[in-house]
Amino acid sequence: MSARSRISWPVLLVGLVVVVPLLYLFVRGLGFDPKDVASPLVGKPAPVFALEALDGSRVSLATLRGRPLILNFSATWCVPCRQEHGELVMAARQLGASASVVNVIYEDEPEAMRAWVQGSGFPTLIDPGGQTAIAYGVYGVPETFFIDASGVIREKVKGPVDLGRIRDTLEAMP
Amino acid sequence: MTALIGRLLIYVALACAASGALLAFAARGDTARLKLSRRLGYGFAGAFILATLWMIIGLVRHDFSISYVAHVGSLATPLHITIVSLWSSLEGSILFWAAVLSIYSLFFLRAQRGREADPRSAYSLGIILVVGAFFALLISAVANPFLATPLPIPTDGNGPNPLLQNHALMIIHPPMLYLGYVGMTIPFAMAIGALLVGRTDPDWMRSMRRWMMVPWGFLTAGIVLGGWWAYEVLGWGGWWGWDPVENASLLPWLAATAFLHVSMLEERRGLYKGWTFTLVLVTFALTVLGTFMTRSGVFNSVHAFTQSPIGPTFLAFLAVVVLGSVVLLSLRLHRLEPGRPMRSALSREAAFVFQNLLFVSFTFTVLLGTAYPLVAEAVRGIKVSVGGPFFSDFVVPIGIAILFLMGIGPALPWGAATPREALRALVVPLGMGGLVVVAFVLGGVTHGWALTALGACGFAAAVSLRELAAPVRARIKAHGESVFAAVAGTFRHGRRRLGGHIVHLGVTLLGGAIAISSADQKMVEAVLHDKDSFVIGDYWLQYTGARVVSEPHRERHFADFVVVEGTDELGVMSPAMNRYSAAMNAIGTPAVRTSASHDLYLSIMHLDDNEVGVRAFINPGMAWLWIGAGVMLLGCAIAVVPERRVRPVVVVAT
Amino acid sequence: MITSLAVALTMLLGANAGPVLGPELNDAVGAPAGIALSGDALERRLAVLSSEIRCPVCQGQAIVDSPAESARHMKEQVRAMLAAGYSDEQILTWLEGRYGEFIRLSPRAEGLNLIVWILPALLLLLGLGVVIAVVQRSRKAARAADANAGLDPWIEKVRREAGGGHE
Repeated sequence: MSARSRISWPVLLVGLVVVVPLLYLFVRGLGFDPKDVASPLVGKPAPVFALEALDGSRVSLATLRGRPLILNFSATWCVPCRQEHGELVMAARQLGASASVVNVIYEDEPEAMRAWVQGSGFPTLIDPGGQTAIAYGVYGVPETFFIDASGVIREKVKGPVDLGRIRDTLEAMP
Repeated sequence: MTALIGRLLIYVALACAASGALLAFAARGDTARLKLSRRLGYGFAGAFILATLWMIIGLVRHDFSISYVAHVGSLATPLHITIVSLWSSLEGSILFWAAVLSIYSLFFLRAQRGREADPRSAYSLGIILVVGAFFALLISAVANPFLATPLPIPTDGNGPNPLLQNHALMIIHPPMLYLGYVGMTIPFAMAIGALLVGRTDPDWMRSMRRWMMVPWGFLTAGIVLGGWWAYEVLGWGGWWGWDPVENASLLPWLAATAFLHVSMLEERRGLYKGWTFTLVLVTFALTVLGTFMTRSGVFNSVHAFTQSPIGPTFLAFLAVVVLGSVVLLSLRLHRLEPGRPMRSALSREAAFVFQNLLFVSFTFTVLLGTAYPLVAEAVRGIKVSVGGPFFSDFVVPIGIAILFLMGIGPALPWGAATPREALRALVVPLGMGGLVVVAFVLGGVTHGWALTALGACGFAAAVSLRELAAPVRARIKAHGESVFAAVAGTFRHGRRRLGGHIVHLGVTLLGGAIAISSADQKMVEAVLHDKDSFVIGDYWLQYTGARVVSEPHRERHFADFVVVEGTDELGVMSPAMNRYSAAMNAIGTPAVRTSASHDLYLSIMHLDDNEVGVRAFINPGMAWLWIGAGVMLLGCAIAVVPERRVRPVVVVAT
Repeated sequence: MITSLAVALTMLLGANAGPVLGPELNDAVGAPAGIALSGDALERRLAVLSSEIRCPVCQGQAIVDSPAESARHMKEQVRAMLAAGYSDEQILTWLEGRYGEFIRLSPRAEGLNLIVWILPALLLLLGLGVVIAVVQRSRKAARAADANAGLDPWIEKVRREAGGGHE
């Protein structure tokens, strides 16, 4: 039995090279939110759409150009969407003609939405086959896209927005 | 009051574990101290087991003054689910973990009776108690199920997670996993003990190996049950999704399997002690990592409901474990005696070494794939996915290579074989493998990888069968025993080998089933109204309507299908959608009709008054997947039971 | 019955091509670079491609497996694009432009992602080298031990007892 301790440097080095980066990675990982996926569409032109609203009118991206657009995706089965709805109604009222608010139905029955959005003051659009949601890269509801007057997406918000957030984002837009 | 008692029990466990560990490390051969540390070990285990029983009693009595009961208890939940809700949420899970560790500790303490003089035994106990103390600290300070519910005490609760109530498998899958995961603490402690003392011997290694086999078996069962749960419950027709938490359970299993093999090499020739110990340490580290991955909230997972605040604590624990292991190993490597060198590349020894290489590759690939999204986010700031297609690309070839080695290894002798001997040993099994391929080609399978895998399985199975028959035939020839007596004799004296080959046989069944079910799956999707029908394979199915069955905690919506095969009416299959009062989305239960050759699998996509959206699968060979796993467990059970060893008797001349 | 359903769906989508099949798509990914598929070939290609696309609302499932409505809609979209003749790469690129790289279940083999594609193979090769070296060294040592073994049984006994090894 040897009395002195001898270090095996190769083992120590290989071990540390494997272990330390992994630990560092996990420490960094604790700061990430696995559900928060950034949208690649921010800074790009908004995908075009031409959809029918619940009241029968046709709304398209082209008709909305010229002023900022708040494009919101929601559904009746989504609890935060219901909470957010009131904020959107207030926003539409306050913004008036200075910005548009448009709501797109996500994976829900138009008839179910109809009762909910009565008197909201902004159009609610039917999205057949979920194509608009796919075109916008929607990961779930509620999601809101802030599009500027020239049709470029400036911000995407995942989760419910409130009046303050809406105002701040609009102010920050060029 | 009841919550207070629970908290006190945890503190007792903490005190016993901490002081027991200190004594075990400081004992230095003092028998009195060692005996006391063992008693404290019993105290720690007893306190935790009592605390767990106390929690179960609290759950059953619906004692909502205990915070955990208020969190997961509900008057509407059936009794068996109430008991099982012990592990339905984080705090209870950690308590359950500590209880399982306590049970293993009790067995370890008993097995180490009379070995107090061995410092390795003392150090191993010390390590186990350190881990126990960590969990006691975690429970009392970070995730305590015994907190007092803030007033006013509610009269009812939400009940446990609906997924727990959806299928009986959820009752047994977590305990099996825990028995696997937690059990790996014991061989880890034994490895650290041996390394700290700097001495190892065949007895200790053999014992360490057996202490790894037991959790290996449980972990195998837990992983397979998880797959069965995914198949029976999640309804997508598959059983493995490469979800990060699934991977977390697979990683220690792979490392443990590598260990179980190379330790045989160590036992035979004393080779690669350092690597053998490394694998034990890695296995335990992977269990800690796995727990971190499951509960930290860092990974996107189907098991996301278990996110919790214990992430940083577990990461710190992981850091101590891995850094400590690396340092200890590098300091003690020179004390480990080298073994007798391998003579030839054409030998079982070499096969074991290659097997270990493949398993390490497998482990590394799964770990890298699971962790890579974090790398991408840390470096590029964007999220990427690493899912099924990536893992399949690597795992399929590695898996097939492992299957081939599983046949080559046992076929080659220990020591050295000439090329001619090797060929003679391999030619018949290779022929069998070829026959298997031909049979499946004639049966209509064209998928290249699947056929290769099936051939490898056939080859390995042939070798295993020959190895199972060999000792029996030898006994018949040598002693003239009957077949029955020969088999019994082999069972009595050659259990480890017997069990090992049975496990291999199980693996070939499992591997073959995986190959054929992936290659030949048929799927049909249909939207049906009442009396509509559709065809899949040889089956004709007709939708005959929906019905609702109300249970106290959920509402089950069934869709009935009449199934006809050829001209035989086979009855009714009823997949369901379950709506729980506590959850928003419905959870589906598929209907599965199993036969020896394939499963007919129906799962509901959507169901309302007018129509049902249904997906139907024909999954070939699925039954053999579960049978293969069962055979593996049987083999493990046979191998684990220790054989009575002849103890040398000292005869003193007078 | 199923084929007619698939055909009906495709026609329905074609009629309401909306924001996907149109000039904007060609701007994003170019003109259709593949061949327009139909029938069984279409279904087979769809099954393979949609197993590589992540369901946006599920936990790690592919859209081929997921019963979620948004996954099924995405699958229809992909089917329409395949029927229109777009290649796999074009479809994946388009989806990445909307959802980010996260939507691909198998990371693109370029840039940093090469780590995850190359490292496992590299480790296997490295390991193979190590194993072969170990086996070679072992064989040499065994041969040397054999050569010395016959020399002096007493020295051999001492060597064995001092140098370790069992049996």
